[in-house]
Amino acid sequence: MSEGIVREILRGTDLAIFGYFVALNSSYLVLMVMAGLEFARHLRRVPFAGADDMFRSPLTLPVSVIVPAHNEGASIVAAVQAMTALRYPRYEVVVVDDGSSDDTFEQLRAHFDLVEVPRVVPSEVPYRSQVLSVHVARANPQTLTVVRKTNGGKADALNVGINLARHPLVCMVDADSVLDPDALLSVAKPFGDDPLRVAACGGVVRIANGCRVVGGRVVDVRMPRQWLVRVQVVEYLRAFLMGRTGWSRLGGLVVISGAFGVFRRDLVVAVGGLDPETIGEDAELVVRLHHHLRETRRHDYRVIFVAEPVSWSEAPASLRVLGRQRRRWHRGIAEILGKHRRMILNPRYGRIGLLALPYYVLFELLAPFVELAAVVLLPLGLWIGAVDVGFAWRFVLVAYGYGLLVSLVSLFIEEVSFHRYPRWSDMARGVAAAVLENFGYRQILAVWQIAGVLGAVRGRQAVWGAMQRQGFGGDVDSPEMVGAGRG
Amino acid sequence: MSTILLVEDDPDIRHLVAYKLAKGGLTVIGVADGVSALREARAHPPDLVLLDVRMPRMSGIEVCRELRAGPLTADVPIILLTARARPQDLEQGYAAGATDYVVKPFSPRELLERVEAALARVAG
Amino acid sequence: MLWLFTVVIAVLAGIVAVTALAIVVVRLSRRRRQRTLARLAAQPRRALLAFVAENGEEGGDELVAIPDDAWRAAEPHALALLGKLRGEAHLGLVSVFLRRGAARTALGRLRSRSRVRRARAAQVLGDLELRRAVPELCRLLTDRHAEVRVVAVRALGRIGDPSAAWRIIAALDRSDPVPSLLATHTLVQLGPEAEVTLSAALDHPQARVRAVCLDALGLLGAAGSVKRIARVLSDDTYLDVRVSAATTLGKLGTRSALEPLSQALRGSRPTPLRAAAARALGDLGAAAAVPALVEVLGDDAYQVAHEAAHALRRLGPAGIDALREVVDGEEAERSGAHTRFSGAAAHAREALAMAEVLRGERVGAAA
Repeated sequence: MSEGIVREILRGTDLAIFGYFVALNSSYLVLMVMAGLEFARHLRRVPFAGADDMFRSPLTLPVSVIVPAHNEGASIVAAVQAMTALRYPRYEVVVVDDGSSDDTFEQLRAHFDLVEVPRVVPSEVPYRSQVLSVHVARANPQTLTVVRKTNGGKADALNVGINLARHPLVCMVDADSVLDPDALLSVAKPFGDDPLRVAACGGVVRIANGCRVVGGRVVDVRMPRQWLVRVQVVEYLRAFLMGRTGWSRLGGLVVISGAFGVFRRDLVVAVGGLDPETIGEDAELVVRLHHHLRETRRHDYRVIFVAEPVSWSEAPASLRVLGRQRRRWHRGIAEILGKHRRMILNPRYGRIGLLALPYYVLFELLAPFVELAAVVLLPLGLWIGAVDVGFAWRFVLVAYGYGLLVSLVSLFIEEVSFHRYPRWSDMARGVAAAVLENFGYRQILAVWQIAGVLGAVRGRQAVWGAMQRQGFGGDVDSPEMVGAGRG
Repeated sequence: MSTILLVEDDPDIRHLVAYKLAKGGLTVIGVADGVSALREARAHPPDLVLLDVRMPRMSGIEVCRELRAGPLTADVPIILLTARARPQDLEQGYAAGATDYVVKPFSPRELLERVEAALARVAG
Repeated sequence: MLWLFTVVIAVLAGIVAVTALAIVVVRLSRRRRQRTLARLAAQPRRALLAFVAENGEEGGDELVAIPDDAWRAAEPHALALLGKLRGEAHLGLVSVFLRRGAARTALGRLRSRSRVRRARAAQVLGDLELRRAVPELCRLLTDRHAEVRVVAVRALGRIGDPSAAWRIIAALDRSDPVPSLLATHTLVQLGPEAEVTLSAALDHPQARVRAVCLDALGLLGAAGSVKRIARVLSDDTYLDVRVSAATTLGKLGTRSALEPLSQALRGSRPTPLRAAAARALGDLGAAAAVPALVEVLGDDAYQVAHEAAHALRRLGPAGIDALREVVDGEEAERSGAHTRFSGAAAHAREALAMAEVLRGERVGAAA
């Protein structure tokens, strides 16, 4: 009798999980259709978008590019060189050396001939570290500034950079990002086209592994060599490129990657800068901006995502590093949703409160738990006879097949719109990666993500724990809130 | 016959200028970025350098300084091609050692005249 | 129940296969299209290059005779070249477009029902700098769609006909206005002849209009309007407009601007206005501004003190001396080496250091 009940419950749970998978993938499909429409709209407008006029106009809004760096001695010079050679009429680069213990600063000083300037650092946004010195490049004092400060983490470094930024737009860039020459132009353009509404604009991040990079520029786009990274390429296309474009079109974009995003400086100052206590400080800033703007301006503002390829990052090539990154990302999601839980399902926050944040709770935060539950409960159901073999294999095929379809659709849209992978073999590898993703990758991802959520729950109890040295360089700890999980 | 090193990343302009100068009886070597330009200029010092200011890898101003610093290219006339002609831009260019300026959008005839004038100054 | 699953699996497998196939088909067809286009465009591109290199003196007929499909393939290159040329070469290329009927087609498309077509047509007319398109483009300034209006404004700037000035100003006075910076840039492109219209619009009831006109007057160097602008600086009710007025007075650089700007620097005024006034006094280049700027060096508002210090730096020797005096005075007073500089001295030190670096930049590079 009790065994019958258990069997019924298990059967019901399996069906519920199945329903969840279908709903999850259907939501991805909807986002992708939105993204497809957005790309079509965008591409039809390229001939009259006026990028050249923007480049020539003396009135184009100047940008301060803020580059936080922690122990980047090996690559910082090449990175800064590339960043000072972008196609944009007027901008400055502010490098913030966040207490590096290596030769990051020495490299910069030697190469750019830095001179110290006793600058007065305002505290328009609060920061908690100490600014040691400010330097400018002797040959270009107005375009390159380097700040040395005591270690305080990425968010704190960005806050110092925001204080020193002299221009009305600030662009936050990871030191290891490889930018396209037109990156700033593409991402700053919405501010010029719709200055009264655009509050922030994010750029897409793609994976640089395998690509040929010459002089800080991606010159040949290729698939990476390892399957682990190839799977991530498909994942990035689906979650970053399509997912965020879709959300941007729906007016519910809550994530702008810290690897490349442009913000109005006055708004960042108004909300108090980045929060050094949160792991996904970039996404948290965007949610806080929404919070602020919804309260002060109701709904007449925009947070935009630009799909034009702008920024390339190195993705983790080992399981260990990938695991650390994904634990961080999911911990970030959990912390942000916890911190802003009052916005969730609150009609006051419009689409953000009623649609975007609940979606993140349901389909990002909970997804790894359901994924893992399926892996455990389905075999269990089979074992005690709650479900039969015929149901089980059909269940698996439909759930994973739908996921595969979603990935293929994103590859298809990429092929129609940007087609950045010119080789046939690379396209075939992309399709193969979309299949392979289902065997092992999704499952292990779910484990890391759950660990991240648990970390957030534990972390909340000990926020003021020992302050460790914080690094954020390279592909390791780049915090990024992303729903790159399942497909 | 004079050799011109043309450094310009926009292929349309590179082709156009190369075509125009070749028509004017000059030998043109075209490269697309500053690093290649320096390599080429050191291997085969040209009679004149036509240099785009905004380029990938190295700005025209940097290339200009490097050329002036090199013993073989210290006296080569350098004409900058630029889209921005504010006084401070021009000042920066001249300070880096440029001989002359041509502002984009440009007239091919004017460009050829400037090049010929600069070459004549060196010869005379 | 199970049969339903089976059907779904079959359908899914079908869609997956179709999607994979679609990727291949899309790629193949795109490559074919690109090859065809490249082949078609090859000859016209060579002809185009030769034509503009010869300043448009020879080969025009040949370009006009190119069949439509080949011209369409080469048209993006031709339009791109248009933006990179001036003088006879530019005029020659424009005349080729006109003889091919590009202007007629574009003018017709300005009334198309598709907003993308309208915008594209406006873009082409701007590229061609076609004066007779001005009335039609002005009509587009009231288009229902913001993106079309933006392209129309840009095109009007390229053409540069001052008669469009008041229409552009009117486009600013609506609930969904064209972007201010774009309008400013366009009004500047219209040239000094637009000054009268701009100056008259300083009394416009819409604050945005006044701000844009001020900025444009500053960039045009309209020294004749200084008096009116000074009045806006002291009397206007909108802070943004007054800030624009201060900046503009700095750009115009006449002595009569000194007094109103010094007034705007006073402590009772809002911080953004005072910062703008300090900066403008630096732009003005009048040594007489030194005492007023020194006075606010120690201001509590960072922006004001910062701008004042750098304005002094830009004023040249008189300003530099004043900065040095502030620093020296402070150093003499300090007893121990560890006391921090006061606000005024800290800002002065920063400006002096910047002056040093900037001087070094000039000297070093010229050597």
